Amino acid sequence: MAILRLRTFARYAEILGDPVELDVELPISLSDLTAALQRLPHGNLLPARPLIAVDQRLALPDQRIAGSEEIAVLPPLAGG
Amino acid sequence: MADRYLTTSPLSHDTLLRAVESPAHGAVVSFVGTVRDHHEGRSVVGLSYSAYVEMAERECQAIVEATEGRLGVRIALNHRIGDLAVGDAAVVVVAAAPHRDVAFEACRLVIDEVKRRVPIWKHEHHADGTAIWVDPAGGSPA
Repeated sequence: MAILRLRTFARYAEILGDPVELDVELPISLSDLTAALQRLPHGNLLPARPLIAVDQRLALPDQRIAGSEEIAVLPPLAGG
Repeated sequence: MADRYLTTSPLSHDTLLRAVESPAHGAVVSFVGTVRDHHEGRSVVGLSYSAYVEMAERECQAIVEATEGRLGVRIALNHRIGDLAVGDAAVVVVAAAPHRDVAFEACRLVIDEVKRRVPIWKHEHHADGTAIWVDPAGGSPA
């Protein structure tokens, strides 16, 4: 197990805190990462598939996370 | 790269216009998005914009470069973050092209892509003292 640190923003920073630290096995799939987020206090407020950014790019559905990347979980985008 | 596209200062349409105008570009189309005084039936007094600044700057640059490369236009783009009042400009896009069809297309494309891809959020403040995080998909914020 290893500690994976994630950045959060806006509403997710309010409900999860920022940053979030997860104790997980690495590498980890996006779906397993999402499940770990949803087990956090208030994690049940997250959607089934929240937006996740890896190194400042939106993650692909089959992307795996090694642990050295910059990971962020993003609320629904609302620019403009 | 930081603060090239995002800024906490009031936006200047004239500055962006001057950045893209040229004798070869006979058509300039601008979009200015401002803070509305209402949203979904509620009276709005202001918006607080926040961003994942590093990623937002990167995405804005990618949108501008892709649009310029694909359509042969010049694009200027600024998005404001921080606390805005009703009527303040939140985003300005200026597209300059040799002819108007492409200028309109480019301006529309850029604002649509900004809304779709750039990690920016708005906290909407209501006249009754409440506030919500805006979800354009219509989800119900906690």
